[in-house]
Amino acid sequence: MNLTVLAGLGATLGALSRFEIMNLFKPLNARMAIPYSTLLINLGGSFILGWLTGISPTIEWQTFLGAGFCGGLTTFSTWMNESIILMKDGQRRDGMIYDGLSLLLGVILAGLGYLLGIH
Amino acid sequence: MRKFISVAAFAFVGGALREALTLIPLVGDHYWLICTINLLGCFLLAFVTEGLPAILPLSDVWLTGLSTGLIGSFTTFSTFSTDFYILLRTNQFSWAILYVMVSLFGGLTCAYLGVRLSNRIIHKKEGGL
Repeated sequence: MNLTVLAGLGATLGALSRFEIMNLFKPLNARMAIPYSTLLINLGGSFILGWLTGISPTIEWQTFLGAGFCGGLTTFSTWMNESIILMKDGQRRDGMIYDGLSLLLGVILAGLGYLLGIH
Repeated sequence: MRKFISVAAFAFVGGALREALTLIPLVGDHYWLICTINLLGCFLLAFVTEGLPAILPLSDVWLTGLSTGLIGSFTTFSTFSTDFYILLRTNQFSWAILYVMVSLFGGLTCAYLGVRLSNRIIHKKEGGL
């Protein structure tokens, strides 16, 4: 199948999962300073994509699950927008913790996934 | 239910568009393409969630599709962090740091600019223009 279509289909599944997880976490998120639902989704997706990159499957699976599902599940734009909102609302420290956790844990989980994949 | 369908349809477009861009052979390096996509998405998300509803009477179904579906799928965090890891793993430390810095500070700046533009639009509208 066409790679663009595969990525689109994977992204649909990924985005719907994100949408449902966000809805599920909404009551919990409202009580937290940092948007943990986005963080959790982004970290989970980083781990899966790292693993996928490690096992290096066929280009079709890589596109459907990697660029598609993981790309649709995780979101860079929501992260940055939530961070700006935190900083704008005078919660600069929470914003910086959020950014730091995303960066650091993101690369660690991608790495763990990758190492798990190649072994 | 209608939001669910809206997110699904728009997410397809966002993911397919990102993939289509990466498949263009003339578009340079993969890292900077993803970075550009992510930065553009940061600006657009701020605009779609705040400024756009002030100009266009879009329903919640459309807005959720555009924000959560289209832009959420267009941008990607997993590729960002996996790329970061691969750059570190292949000992390209300066590129790794540059990639993260441009993505992070560029992303924050683009989101901020999106918010600023939206505020200006809302302000103008309230001012009677």
